[in-house]
Amino acid sequence: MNCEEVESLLADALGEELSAPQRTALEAHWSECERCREEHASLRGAVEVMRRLTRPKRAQARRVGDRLILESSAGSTIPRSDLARERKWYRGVLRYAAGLGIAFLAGYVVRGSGESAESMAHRPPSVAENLERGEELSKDWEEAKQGSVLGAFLHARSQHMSRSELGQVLIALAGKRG
Amino acid sequence: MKTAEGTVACGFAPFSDDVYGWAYRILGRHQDALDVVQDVFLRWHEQCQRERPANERGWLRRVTMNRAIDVRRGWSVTRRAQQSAARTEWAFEEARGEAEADEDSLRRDVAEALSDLTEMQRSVLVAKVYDEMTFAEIANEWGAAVSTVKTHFVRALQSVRLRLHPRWSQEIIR
Repeated sequence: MNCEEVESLLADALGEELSAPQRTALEAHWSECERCREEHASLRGAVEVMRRLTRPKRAQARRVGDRLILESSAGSTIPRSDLARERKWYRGVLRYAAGLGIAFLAGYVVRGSGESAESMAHRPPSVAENLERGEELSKDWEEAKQGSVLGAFLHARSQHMSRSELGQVLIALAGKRG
Repeated sequence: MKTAEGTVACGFAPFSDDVYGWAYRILGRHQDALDVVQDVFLRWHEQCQRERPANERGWLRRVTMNRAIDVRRGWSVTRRAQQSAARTEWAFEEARGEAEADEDSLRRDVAEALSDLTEMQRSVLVAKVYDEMTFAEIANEWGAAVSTVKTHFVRALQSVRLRLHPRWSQEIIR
């Protein structure tokens, strides 16, 4: 087979319509003729590059009145106007959900910071509270040591009370013991 | 007996998937491909009122490819105008995935390569490469000799190769 004969079969080779004997003869020629081999390979490459463009998802479009109706291969029907409406609806839902989420987070942060602010604010304890606390402290102290005011003070100190709280507890304790 | 839909659509339904597919290959965007389907359908309907094309699928392929290439050209003009006005398009390009940008760039190059061809060459090439028709089927569709179709195919491919070569040389020259 010479170069001219190979050229006449080039379309069949590129279009994959060669018979087995034709293919054998062509391959034999290509193994010897670099020019013909390269011509085929580069045109084949162009076909491959074109085929890299993806095939679309199958969709049937048909016209009913003034509307274009799309049908996917799965059989569901999506009118074109509905596609736009559907997208709009999803966008609305997403915005609403995002708004709710932000509001929830903002509420959580504000509430959390409110609580911490409240806990940090100094509130002077009432006398009843001091007495109650003093009783508890004295009970612990009675059980632990000999009953000195210093022991009660140290125990109250370990509760991380403020200085004024400690003072009031000790007064209440001393009054009870006195 | 013709249904109401059949009368309105003028027998378009069996070809709609093909029309969508041809348009999508060139445009790569669902909504734009649909717009092309819509335009092609209107032209099909007008043509049907006058005379139904003898080679229906071939007629639709030709009209669809022409329309899709025109739409693509419109994008290029718009893009150039946007780029001269502002550089935001570059940021957009960078933000997109590399693969997506690569595919879009390939679509643009293939569309440009196809736009250089004659209508017959373009139709033969698309029928062979994308629709995987045999040369005999294409010849039958066009009412031409098989040898003529083969000649158009090879010449079309040689032209496309020239156009694609600068960017896609690694694939073309192996």
